[in-house]
Amino acid sequence: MKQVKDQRIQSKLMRVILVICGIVLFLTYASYFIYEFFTFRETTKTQLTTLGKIVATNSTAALAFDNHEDANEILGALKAESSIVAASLYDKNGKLFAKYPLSITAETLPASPQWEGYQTAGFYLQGFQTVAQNGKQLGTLYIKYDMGVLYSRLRLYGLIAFLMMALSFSVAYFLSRRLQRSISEPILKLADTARIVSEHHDYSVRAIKTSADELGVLTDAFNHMLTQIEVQNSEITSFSQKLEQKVKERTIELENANGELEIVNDKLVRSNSDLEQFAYVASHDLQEPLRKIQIFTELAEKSKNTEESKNYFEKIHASAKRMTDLIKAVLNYSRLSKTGDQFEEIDLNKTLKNVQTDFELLIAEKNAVIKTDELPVIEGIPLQINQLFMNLLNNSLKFSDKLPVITITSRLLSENEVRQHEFLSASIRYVEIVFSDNGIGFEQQYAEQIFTIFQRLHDKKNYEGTGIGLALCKKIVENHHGFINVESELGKGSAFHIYLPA
Amino acid sequence: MSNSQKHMTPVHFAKPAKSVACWLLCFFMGMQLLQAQTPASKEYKVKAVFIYNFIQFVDWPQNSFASETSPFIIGILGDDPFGTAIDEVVAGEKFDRHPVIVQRYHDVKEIKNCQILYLSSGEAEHLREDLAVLPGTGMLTVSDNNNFARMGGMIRFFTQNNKIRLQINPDAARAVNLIISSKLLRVSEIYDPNKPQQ
Repeated sequence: MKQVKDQRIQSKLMRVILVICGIVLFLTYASYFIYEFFTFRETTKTQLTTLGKIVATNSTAALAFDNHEDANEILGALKAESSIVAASLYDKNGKLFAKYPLSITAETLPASPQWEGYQTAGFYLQGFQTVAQNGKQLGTLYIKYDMGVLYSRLRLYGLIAFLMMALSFSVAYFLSRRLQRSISEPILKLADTARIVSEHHDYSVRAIKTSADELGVLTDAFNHMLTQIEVQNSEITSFSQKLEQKVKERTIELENANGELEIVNDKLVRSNSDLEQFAYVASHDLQEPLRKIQIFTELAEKSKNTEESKNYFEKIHASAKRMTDLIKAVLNYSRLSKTGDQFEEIDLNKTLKNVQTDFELLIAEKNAVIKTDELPVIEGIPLQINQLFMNLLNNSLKFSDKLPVITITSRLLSENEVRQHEFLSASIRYVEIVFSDNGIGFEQQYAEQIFTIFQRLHDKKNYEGTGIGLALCKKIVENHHGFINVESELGKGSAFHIYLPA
Repeated sequence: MSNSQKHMTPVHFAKPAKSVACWLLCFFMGMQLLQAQTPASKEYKVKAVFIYNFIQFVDWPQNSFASETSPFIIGILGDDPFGTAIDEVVAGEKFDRHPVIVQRYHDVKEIKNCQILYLSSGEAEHLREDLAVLPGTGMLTVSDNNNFARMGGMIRFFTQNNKIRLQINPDAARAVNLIISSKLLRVSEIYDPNKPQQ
């Protein structure tokens, strides 16, 4: 490819140089030839005329005194000019008088004088000259000159010209081969660079500037163009990289937002199901005391016995109280859904102490033993944590059939333990607080169910309660980004595990 | 025939006593010449042309002529062998501005001013005397006589291989201030006094 290109521009230049050289040489030689031809002819004519005059002057006496020998002798002197092939003298009457060379036959000579002066005829120059003495014509001289000399000379010149042209051509060829490089090489370099640029899209290559002429200017302009393209290219590249980076960032943000949305959605789904459950349970649980109030009110109305109606009224009162409790608990639960409260430092030891104080009477009544470790300080909403402890302690005190022994322990979870726990975030440290008791317990299969609102495992007669307490606990722990579960065995007691961010 | 007529012309000047003898002589000689010259007439025609041509090959001193237009005279002394041939040759010819004419003399004393003088063979006996009395200056003498050059003549006609040739005595010419062209000398035999005549 390069070779072909090379040949094309170089051969063009060479051709131009050689053609010009050839034309110049040809014109030079041609003009020289023409000049030589005419000059030679004219010179020869002049020389012949001069020679003829000499011969004519010398031959006057021979003609005048009829001396053929002398005339022949004089003509014989023309031998010195080998190109003169024939000559003759005619007397006054136009009769052949003498001839040269002597061997020539009279037929090949003009029979009589014809014209004055010399003319070319074919390869010969021939003519007549008057022979006169003191203005008296005595005869005529004829000379025939062979221009073969001219032609052989022209042939020699032609040969020399041909050789010179061949020499000049080869010199011109070698010179132009060298000289045309100064023009073709920068162009070829430029073309090469352009080819590299277009083939490899490599804008970092530069054409090499070899001269300060127009080609140099062209090379500079080309290089400048490449520089600009390169700069613009890098700008475009960096711009697209930035764009990509931005898209990535946005995608990550979107993914995050999506994840958050999913979480929120999960929460919504859960709270929705909670609400449905709540509505169902509330309608059932809240209806029960209402139904009782209705029934006992009817019974009290029909009763004539004051004792009996007093009893009914007591029952109505109890039902109304229970309803008030229920409504309070529901309000409590619903309040937990609002998360406007600020997190602050809570010393759990203090919280436990306060709760223990609140349950002083019940503890004393049940003769309960409460064992506690040193508890940590955490970030949380004080009221909710207080509620959590209250509910758990209440739960343990409530569901007991013997002297309750309640143990409260706490420890910091190792990272490994956190990682193994499916509901905890691996990036945060957690503390585990365990409330274990020796109460009635339950079968492990109900471990999930007990945290559901209004779910009760035990009858109300033996174990009073709203059925909201543990659901509240769960809600509070979740509000603190923690987790609660329970291990239990029927008749042996339960252990509530609470995981809260340390 | 025309020859005899021409012969009459110079006779006017002859004396009556001598004229009869002359007439007779002329007549006989004429008869003789007619017979003898008939084959020779071509020879004398050529000689007449030659004599005329001498004009061009000799340098004539200016004082040979009385004036610029005075004639160039070709004189014939003694018997005229040319007849009308020489008159025909010179008819209308001029040398520069000098018209060329022919004059015939019977006596050497008649000759006063002439440029070329042909001395006929009839003058042979007293040729030497004739030459001696000639005015000399500027006169070219021509004759057929064998001893002409030796006697002091300038140009002699002689025949060689059937061709008319010239013998020239350039010293004689130079003596009378005539310079004969080297070209003429070239085609002529130069008289050498030391060389015996044939």
